[in-house]
Amino acid sequence: MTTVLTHKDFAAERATWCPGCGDFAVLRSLQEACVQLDLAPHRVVVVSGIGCSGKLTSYMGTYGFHTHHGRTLPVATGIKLANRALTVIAAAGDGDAYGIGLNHLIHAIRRDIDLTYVVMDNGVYGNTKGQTSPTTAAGVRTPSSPLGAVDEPVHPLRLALAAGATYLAQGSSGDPAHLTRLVAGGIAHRGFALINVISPCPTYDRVRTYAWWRERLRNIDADAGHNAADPRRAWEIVSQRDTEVVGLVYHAPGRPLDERLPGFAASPLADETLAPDLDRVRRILDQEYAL
Amino acid sequence: MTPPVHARNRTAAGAAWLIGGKTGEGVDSAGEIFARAAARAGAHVHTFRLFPPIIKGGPTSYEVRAAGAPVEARADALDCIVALDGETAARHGAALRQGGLLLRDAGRAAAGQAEGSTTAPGNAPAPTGAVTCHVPFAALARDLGDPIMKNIVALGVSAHLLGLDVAVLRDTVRGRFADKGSRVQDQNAAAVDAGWRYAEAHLTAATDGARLPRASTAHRWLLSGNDAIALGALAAGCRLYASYPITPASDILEWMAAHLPEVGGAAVQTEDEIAALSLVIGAGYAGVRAMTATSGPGLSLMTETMGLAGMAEIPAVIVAAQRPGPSAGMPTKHEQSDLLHIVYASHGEFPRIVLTPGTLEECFTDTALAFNLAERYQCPVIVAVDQDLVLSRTTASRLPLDEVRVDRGERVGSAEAARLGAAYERYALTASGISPRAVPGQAGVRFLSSGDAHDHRGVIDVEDPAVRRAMVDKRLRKTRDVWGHAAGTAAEGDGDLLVIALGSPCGPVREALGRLRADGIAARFLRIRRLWPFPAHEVAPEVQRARRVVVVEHNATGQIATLLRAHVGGHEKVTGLRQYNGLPFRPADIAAGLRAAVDTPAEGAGLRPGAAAGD
Repeated sequence: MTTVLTHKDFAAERATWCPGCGDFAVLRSLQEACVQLDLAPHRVVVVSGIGCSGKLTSYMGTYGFHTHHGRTLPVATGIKLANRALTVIAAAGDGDAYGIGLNHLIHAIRRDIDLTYVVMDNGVYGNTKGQTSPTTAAGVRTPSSPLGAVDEPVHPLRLALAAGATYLAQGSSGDPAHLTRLVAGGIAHRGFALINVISPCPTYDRVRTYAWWRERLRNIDADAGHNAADPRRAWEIVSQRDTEVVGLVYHAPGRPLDERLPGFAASPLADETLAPDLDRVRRILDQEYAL
Repeated sequence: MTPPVHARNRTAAGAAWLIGGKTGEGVDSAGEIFARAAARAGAHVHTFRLFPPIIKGGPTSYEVRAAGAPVEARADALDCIVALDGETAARHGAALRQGGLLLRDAGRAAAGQAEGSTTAPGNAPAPTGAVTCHVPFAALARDLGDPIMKNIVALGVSAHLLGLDVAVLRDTVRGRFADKGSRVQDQNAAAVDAGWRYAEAHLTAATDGARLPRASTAHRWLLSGNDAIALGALAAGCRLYASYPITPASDILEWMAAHLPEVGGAAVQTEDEIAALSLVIGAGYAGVRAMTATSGPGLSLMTETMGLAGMAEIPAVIVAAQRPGPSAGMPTKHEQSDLLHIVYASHGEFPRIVLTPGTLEECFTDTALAFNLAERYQCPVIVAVDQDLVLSRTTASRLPLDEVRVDRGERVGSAEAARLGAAYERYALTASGISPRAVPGQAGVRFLSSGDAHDHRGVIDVEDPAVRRAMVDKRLRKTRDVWGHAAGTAAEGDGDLLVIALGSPCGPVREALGRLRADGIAARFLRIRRLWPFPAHEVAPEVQRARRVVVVEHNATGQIATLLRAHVGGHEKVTGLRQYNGLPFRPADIAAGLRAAVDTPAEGAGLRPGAAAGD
């Protein structure tokens, strides 16, 4: 007899985000994607960072690790290498992903570590009350940019494609069903998957509301001329000044780190019963250090 | 600093030899070959490298001390210097003992034996009382086809002068070039012979009896502290290693990259030290033994992540190999100035354990032990070492392999997980403070680990003052019984002078105390083996018993002494013997400092900040 799970099997505490927060839809999409892929809750680990997005691990009924700011990817990499049989999802905000932890994004992509990275991009530092974030548009006034944001925002899709991402998508909290498909595709992808999610902050961003985004976001998955396997097409999309699209931008076969590491154990390292490995130590001593 | 020349009759004690030149001239490989050959010929060996942060063309040297008994320090004075360039004589000449040999490349000078110390040509004066010999190292090598082999010619000359068996040297040289083919092997073996024959023909009068000692030729190895640390990690079941290259810890990364694949594990060279420790913590959370190694600058980057490990109660093993700071400091030199950083680094309060090995064997056992402690107490464990301890190579006749145990701490097995189900509390408030650990993948016991303050179930956003206090107390009481699982100190000898040290200075201290004993000065030597939690209950009675306490350490501000004063007191007795010039102590530095301490009137003198020895 098999039990059919629902999103409730992947739920934990009641979420305390502000009413209308885009992160509710991200949470629900993650849960639904796990259901669609027939995953068992205890075989999934979600790693989150700091800020409003970081609270997501409290609301997921999977294993969770709520880490420090910006380091979801190296922590998740350690978990995946420790137990390659687990599904490991990193969930971060735009401050985590494109500010303090941007360095790790480029290297996680380069390693093509088999993780799904869901970034809740609201273009604002909500948990510290509304300062500019790396994806705040130039000119926007916030408490930390009272005269208007000076810098150009980070372009996550362009950056990730340039770094060699093998699964690259953008979703929106305004379309949870579509977002669920993108997340499920990312989890199923053997390699690194980045899903940037437009996740509006109704408290600190009164301009870029759901309605504002709905008018602008174009769904490329519905575009008959779009082929996610075509890198030139992907470059065209991410080269636009404002990448106001949702959908699967690029998808190529992954080359995950755990498959490329020389001699890496096929079964999870975490399952190994350890005993002092003295024979090996003696052998190395005699081979490399004996006089 | 001018190293003191300790005139002594060294034939009984062995011989100290140094080769110096520019990086890229084969100084390191010649030094390694000589050390290995001396050890194979039966001597106990200790090496010391002095190298610049310049890959090609900087001044570099390799010191080999060979003795009839185990040695764990540099010699006070050198018996023989091979100077491949003029600068070597200038830099190291003062360290030659009376009657020691300075072998210089003849260059344009007439080859052959010099008559004494005053005839040295070139840009440096010969040291007083030394014998300078001009030897055509490069010319002899050129005759054999390649002047690059001048270092090997120098080995042949040295072997003759110091009584190293030429057959052993030849064989060691062949072994060194085994992967270069027989032609290169033959050429280098010929270079050994050329040097040997030259010395035989021209330099016999130069030898004054300095001979390499022969001890038993029991099965032995020659390895560094870094090698021992890596072996200890492997023995203990380390499967993942993550780090960023940094001197002097890079050897461990290279070692792990070579050997972890043999056990199905992996070494990941991360983008920075933040990622390195974060990866280690991810692995620890998921139930796999993992380690990182770094030096001061990298440890600085890791401090926030250490706090995460403390709060989320994740096992992590960190090797902190110190070098002089702050900032990039002197990346290729020696110091112990990160001790307080290692003990206190990060924000907030959480338990950590800091082990301080003082010998090659302890580098091995402490690293293996660190994994047990990290899992038992679910906290970061730091193996604090220093440049001299991890880079110097020493002969070892045995490593305490049989002492290695694997203790994975309190874990929730699958049967218990099934029984507990949702009742499982990851951060259960136990009497010991230690909460049995489940790992992701186990059915029934899902939990959240967090860097946010949390309650006993792992639920965050708990602002109840009582819960906060209970959880802080729970974490802090975890290491209360650490004394039963990791020795705090190791003591030897007796006397009313108490000498305290940790790390690489333990070797020269032990040797210095032997000399003091010969002069009728009795002392007790207390080695700190676990710097944190500070072993106050072991140190306090020692300090109480002592008339005078001298803390020997490689830093300017007296960091061990600071911990001693904070946790034990005895202010009026404590004085410091400190060296922070980038170089490890020689035994004579310490013997002189201790003699001075003994001769100083006890009352009041202890409050004076320690004079830096040798400066």
